[in-house]
Amino acid sequence: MDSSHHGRGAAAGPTRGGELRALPFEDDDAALVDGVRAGRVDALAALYDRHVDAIHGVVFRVLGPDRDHDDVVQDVFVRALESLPRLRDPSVLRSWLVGIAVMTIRIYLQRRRRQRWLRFLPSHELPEPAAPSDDAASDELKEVWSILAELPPDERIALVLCRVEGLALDAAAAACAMSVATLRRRLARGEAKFLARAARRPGLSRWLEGAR
Amino acid sequence: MSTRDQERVWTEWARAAHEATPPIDVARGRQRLLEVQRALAPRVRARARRRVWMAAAAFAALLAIVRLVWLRPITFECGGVRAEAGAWLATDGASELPLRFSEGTVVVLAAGSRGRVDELRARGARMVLERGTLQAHVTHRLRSDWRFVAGPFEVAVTGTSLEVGWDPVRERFSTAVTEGAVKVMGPSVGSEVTVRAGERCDVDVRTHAMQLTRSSPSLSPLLPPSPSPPPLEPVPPASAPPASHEVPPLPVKPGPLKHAHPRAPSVASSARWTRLEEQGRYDEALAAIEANGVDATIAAANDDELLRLSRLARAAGNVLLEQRALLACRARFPHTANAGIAAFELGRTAAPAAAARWFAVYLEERPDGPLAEQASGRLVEALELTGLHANAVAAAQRLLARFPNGPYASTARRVIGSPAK
Repeated sequence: MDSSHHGRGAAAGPTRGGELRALPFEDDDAALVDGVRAGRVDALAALYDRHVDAIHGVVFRVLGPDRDHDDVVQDVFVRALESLPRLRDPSVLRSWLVGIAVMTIRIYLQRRRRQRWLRFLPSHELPEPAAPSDDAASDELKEVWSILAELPPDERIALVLCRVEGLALDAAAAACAMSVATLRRRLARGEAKFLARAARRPGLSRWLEGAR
Repeated sequence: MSTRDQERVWTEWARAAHEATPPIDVARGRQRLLEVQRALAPRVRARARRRVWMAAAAFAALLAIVRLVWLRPITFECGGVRAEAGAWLATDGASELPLRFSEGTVVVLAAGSRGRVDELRARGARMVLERGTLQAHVTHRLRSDWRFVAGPFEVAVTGTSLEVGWDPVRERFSTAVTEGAVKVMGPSVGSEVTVRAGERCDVDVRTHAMQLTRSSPSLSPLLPPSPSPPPLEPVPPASAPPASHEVPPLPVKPGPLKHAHPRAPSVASSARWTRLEEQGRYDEALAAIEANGVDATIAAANDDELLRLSRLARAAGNVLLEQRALLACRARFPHTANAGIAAFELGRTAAPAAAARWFAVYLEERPDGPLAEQASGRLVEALELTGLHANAVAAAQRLLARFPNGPYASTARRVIGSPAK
């Protein structure tokens, strides 16, 4: 995805006496982190520009079309900004941000499930919260998100990280802040549930028939 | 479903999900984030300051706890009552005095011994043995620091059971160790000598002879046992104690000096024991006194000889004989310098209440005497030990007025500063 037309590399924000532009930080995440820690606005802008696509992608592919999607992404970067002083190894900034994204998504999903539970309604009887249009999504993808909504957050996240984002087990486990063994169990449960439900969804017949 | 079929499902899903991912409004998101950064900056600075203060406060609290718990000096009890460092401890010829320290160490001052707990530390204490014998079972702890000073010798202990003896008249030092090991420092032992479990170290300072031998498993008395006198009763001074020192009356009304077997003074026998004493033949001198009769010897002695007799008796651990000689000196030679010294020495041998009275007597009779400062300090200690705090404070104030920089000044200030018990 190319989002340069949305302002990539442009002004970091108007300031007194002119316009602040993000300075090039090359590919060195450590320099970015140092700049943010020093309170440099251009460093934070550059950090956001460099990593927002990846974080946005993870959030979208786990949550699907969601009215709170932008807030969740924003929340990831705000948490990162607050936690940056505690980042020990700036060279792993990307995976560290993915870990924060996973934690933020999990909290968001759990909060949403709690809200449903408090209403004494089974989750499958409620539609996903009013979401932005998903016209661009294929029928299969709509079915997938419908199935994902029925899975526990940890299984849902493990499934997306490993099967959609293509993360290795150890990288996914690190992002989820759990052991590889735990992640493997949750992934196995998530896969089994997903495939069982998919088999009952006519909208996914093309993928499944292709599989057969 | 086979693994290959499952892989196909995941691949289809991944392709469709990536294709469907919409673009994000980067400029708007960045702007929101920068606003958050501006809002967070003061909070971050405040949090950093708060963190520094909290760390400093935590460190200070930790230091305080360490000081309170770890570096707090140990305490000790004497006869079930908490005692203070610096107080003199004495036993008569019949009983011993156990001292129990808060970290578990037990020191027993044997009969006829004198000493003081000179200093209490966080990991031990320094105890001075003026004469006689003490037995100690020192609880071993990390970096225990126990010192026993006996005459010119110092015994360093980290955890052990031992016995220390010092005879100031014969100038003989002994220590025997049953557990652990100790280091002895002092004359005639080189820089120091280590005495281990089962060993015994005897040093004769006069002949510079040091002997390290294997001792029997059970400790034998290091110094000759003292005779067992009847219960000691304080005897009144020749003159009534002065009111100016505000010393309370003695709890026991003393009687006059009794001569159980009055004999005619024997000048020859007196000359004999004094000659033996001058030659350092103390055992023989005491034997001569016994042979001649104690009463007769006392009756024949002049004031100098009575003081010498008291010192000889003290060295032998015979408190009764020591006190009789001193009391005789006061009764027969009142208003002399030696009568004053006898009052002071009586204070040293007596229990706190009687001791306070004797020190007050000395100060009244010899306000500018050579022992005035010591008597003032010991008077403060004795009054405080007796529980007469107000009297002790008054005595301490008088001491500070006369001897503001002397060795007892700190004790006086401590008494003045401490609350009444």
